[in-house]
Amino acid sequence: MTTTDVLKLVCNAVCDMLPELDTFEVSSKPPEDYPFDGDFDLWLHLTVGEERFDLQLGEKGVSETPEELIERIRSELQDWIAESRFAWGQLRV
Amino acid sequence: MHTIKRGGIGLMLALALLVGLVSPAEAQTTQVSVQSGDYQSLITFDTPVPRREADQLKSAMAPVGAMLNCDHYYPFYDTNGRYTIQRACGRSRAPWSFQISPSVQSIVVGLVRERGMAWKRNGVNQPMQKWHTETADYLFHGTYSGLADMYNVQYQDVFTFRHNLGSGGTATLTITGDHTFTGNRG
Repeated sequence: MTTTDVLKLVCNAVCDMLPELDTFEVSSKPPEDYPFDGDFDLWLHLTVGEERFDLQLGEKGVSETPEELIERIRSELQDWIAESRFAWGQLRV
Repeated sequence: MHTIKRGGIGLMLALALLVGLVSPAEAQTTQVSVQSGDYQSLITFDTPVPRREADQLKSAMAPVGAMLNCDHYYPFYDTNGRYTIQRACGRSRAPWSFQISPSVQSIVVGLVRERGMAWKRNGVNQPMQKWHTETADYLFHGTYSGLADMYNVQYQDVFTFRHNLGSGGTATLTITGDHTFTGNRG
């Protein structure tokens, strides 16, 4: 899967749920304040205003189908949205 | 399993040793472990801390090997916190939560960093769930997905925070467990 494929896949999971999105990044860099050692290949970083969402996308030794990945991203994103200041309590899935 | 790592040994302990209130053999520890059924609680410290204080954090919580019915809310408690799990009958998802106990909350300084729930479905590693940095009283939560009747889930999550015991330090609380969703109602 190419980087473009991953970006498209992630955007399919995220973009319709989050019209407020300010920045969108998929990279191998963990968040600066991530305090643990992780075996992750890929991270998703989103921001809306000053609020940030960081999710591990790829993990060595763990595989998931594109459908499973989309479901996981949307599930975690829904939790984050519902607890955000910009969309407190909203259900968007 | 719950693990707490702590750092720091305080002036109080040093004074206690000096006046013979605490014998050296029982004065310090770097680990406290308790196991109850399939659920374990392990507390480790990055530097030795007073054993008596550490022992107060012993716990005995239990979903290890638990068989869980559907449409039923299961809370499991120990002195470190409360883990809950539930699955609606016929559904593929099971939400879990963990809240740090008030006694542990009281020693937290600043925020708690959750690594993210690592879990296995029927023995197969699944992607780690999202990490969170929250206040000590936060209800950490997530969802196990792709489940069906008689599916087994093993889980582990790690929480780190600064603590105010002794001269202070870093504590790590690890929860682990193992449960199977029977599919039987209630």
